[in-house]
Amino acid sequence: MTPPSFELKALCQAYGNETVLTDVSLDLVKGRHTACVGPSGGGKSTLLRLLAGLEAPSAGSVLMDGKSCSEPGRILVPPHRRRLGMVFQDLALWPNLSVLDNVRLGLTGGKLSREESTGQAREALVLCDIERLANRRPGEISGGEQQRVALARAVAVRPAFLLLDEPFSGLDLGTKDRLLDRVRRLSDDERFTVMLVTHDPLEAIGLCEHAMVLEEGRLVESGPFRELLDSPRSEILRLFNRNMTRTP
Amino acid sequence: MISPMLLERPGSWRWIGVTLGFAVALVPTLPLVWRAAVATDGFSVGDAFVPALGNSLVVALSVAAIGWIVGLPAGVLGGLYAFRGRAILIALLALPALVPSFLWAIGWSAAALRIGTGASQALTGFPGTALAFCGMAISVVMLTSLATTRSLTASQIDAARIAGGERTVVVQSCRHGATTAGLAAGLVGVLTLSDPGPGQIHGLRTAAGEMLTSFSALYDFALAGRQCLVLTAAVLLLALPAIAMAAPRLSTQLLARQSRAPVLARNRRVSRIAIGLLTLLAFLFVMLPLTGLLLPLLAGAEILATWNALTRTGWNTLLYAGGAGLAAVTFGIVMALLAGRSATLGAACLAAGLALFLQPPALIALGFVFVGSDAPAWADPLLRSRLTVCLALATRLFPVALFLGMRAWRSFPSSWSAAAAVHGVPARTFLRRIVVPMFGFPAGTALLIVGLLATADVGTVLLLHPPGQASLPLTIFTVMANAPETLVASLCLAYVVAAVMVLVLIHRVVGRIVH
Repeated sequence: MTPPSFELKALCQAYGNETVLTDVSLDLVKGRHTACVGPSGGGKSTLLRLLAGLEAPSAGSVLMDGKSCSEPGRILVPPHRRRLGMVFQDLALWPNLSVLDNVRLGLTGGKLSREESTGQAREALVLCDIERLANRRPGEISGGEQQRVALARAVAVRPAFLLLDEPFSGLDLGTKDRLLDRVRRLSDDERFTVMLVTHDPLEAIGLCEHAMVLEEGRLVESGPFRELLDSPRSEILRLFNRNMTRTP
Repeated sequence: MISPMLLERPGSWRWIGVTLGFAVALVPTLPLVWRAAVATDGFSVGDAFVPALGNSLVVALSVAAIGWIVGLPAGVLGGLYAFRGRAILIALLALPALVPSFLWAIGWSAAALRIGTGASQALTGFPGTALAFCGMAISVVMLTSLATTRSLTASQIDAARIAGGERTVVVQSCRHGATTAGLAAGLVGVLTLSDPGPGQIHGLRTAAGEMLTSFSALYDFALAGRQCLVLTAAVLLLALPAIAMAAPRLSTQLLARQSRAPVLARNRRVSRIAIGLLTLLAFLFVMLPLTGLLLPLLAGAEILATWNALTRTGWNTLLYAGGAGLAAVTFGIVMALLAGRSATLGAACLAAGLALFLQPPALIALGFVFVGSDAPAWADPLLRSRLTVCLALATRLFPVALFLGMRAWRSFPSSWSAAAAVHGVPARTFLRRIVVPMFGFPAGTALLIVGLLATADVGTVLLLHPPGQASLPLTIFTVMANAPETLVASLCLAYVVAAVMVLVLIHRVVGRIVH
């Protein structure tokens, strides 16, 4: 099956009187890892939720392979039919289930038999190097291990796109680096495209070749990451550049 | 496939569902209101009722004031500090909230009799009635303040500690919990308006006592209905402004999600004060009346008669408690899921739930009586059976389960549903595998609390129980004036032991939730 590509057209999202996203349009191309960078409260997570089909937009549309999958107030293709995996900011691990069951329940949408889903879940645990934790519960393992369980659950569905919603914030530099490296290798081996949402450009630069910057719900700039850093228009990339040049 | 995101989706359907839920809960009261509205012979409530209502109001205000002044610091100290015997002292002080008030009234009365005629005379009327209720008020305010203090984050407490030491921590925590504690005290005060027990035992004419006389001695259900409506109006008049003002604050303080729970501090000086205060309260409001209640056992226990009463009423007591608990928990949790995460709807649910909870138990029970008296025989299983008792009790007590359910649901991150939706987990599977197991502990706690409150509600059982199907507390209530005091003491002991066992269960359940 050919991996899909996504097109966001003039997306707007508002909650009551509060507008979170205004007129955001962009393409997510298969095979091109993209970072969505911006300050907190800029609308990054909302954009990801709209892309995943967890929310319907107030205006605009989301297209998958040229076909509309979200329209204002309507979700036409449900999240699990979009061939996506997602790692949430708070990881969203179900605390009453074991690590293996967390990953296996994540495969429910695939309509697999029990043996198949167990096999596929174990494969994902091996890929993330946590097969030894299969029978432990999320509360019994470390923060870094929990991140890998969330990653395993997301990659177990063999997604075409992996959406990462600031999953590495709060981790120490070493753990963060190891996890990013694992995502990079997994994306090469499993051939999925990453969309990383982060407020830290440094986190994104090692993984994504393309970037977009959201500030106050508006798309300020997008393009190849290096080019954006060479002549930044957004506040966040300008600050990032200034700090990087100050580094001894 | 229904998406688990439905559980998180906002919309007007939530308001409609919640409104319908509360409307269903109010249906049993309609016949009573209707009869009063169409009554042609005026709206007389009897000559003695109005002065009795005045007495009740004085008792309610005194109890609320004492409960607030004493319960708030006790709860704050219990919520902030680790000290020897903390769990036992808190559990002991929780007992008055879970045991019917008339048992404490009997205890005080018996203790005063042992001390001497002077003490007995001093407790007659208002002082004895207020004292019997004070234990409950202090208990509820203490537990509320404890919960409010525990909802402070560790960093908030640390900030206060850095600013001015332990004194500032305690003062700021008291200020933080003062409104909520005040509301809890006020609510207990309002609850006393509907409770006839202590007034009857200590010889004070109260509104609830007059109502009890109307239906159990005069068999004038119409008069009881009118009195009940006046009492309801008084309750609403007193409670609604306080609820409307405090519900949003309660909603954020008690339903909020914690970021990092505070660790109990160890401070020798404050711990001594805490131990002293809690021990004094436990002695005054639990041990002293309990001693009075159980002292007659020294003359010998009526084991056979108690056993007979237990075998006759035990099953019914369990059935009423369990049936009411199950119905209340089911309804309360469905309502909690309907309320979702909306702050406005949460506050509205809390306000409506509190208003319903505070109604005189007789309001719903008399409604069932009126419907049942006109209903055909085929409606007996629903309107004139033990199921009726369970339903009537659950109708008034389901807000307890609603409150615990809302608190639990808001502590689950919304990303759980989102993750399930991304992975195509159907709503049914998500409910069965994640939501129901996660609701297990709060539902269990709610079941036990509602069960105990249902057992303590003698009025509803008195009005609705089928002939020969009384509960243990009702049996104690009906025999306490005429039976030998050794028998009353033996029955009371059986009840208190059962309540303590349930308390231990609650402690275990809550302990597991915290764990």
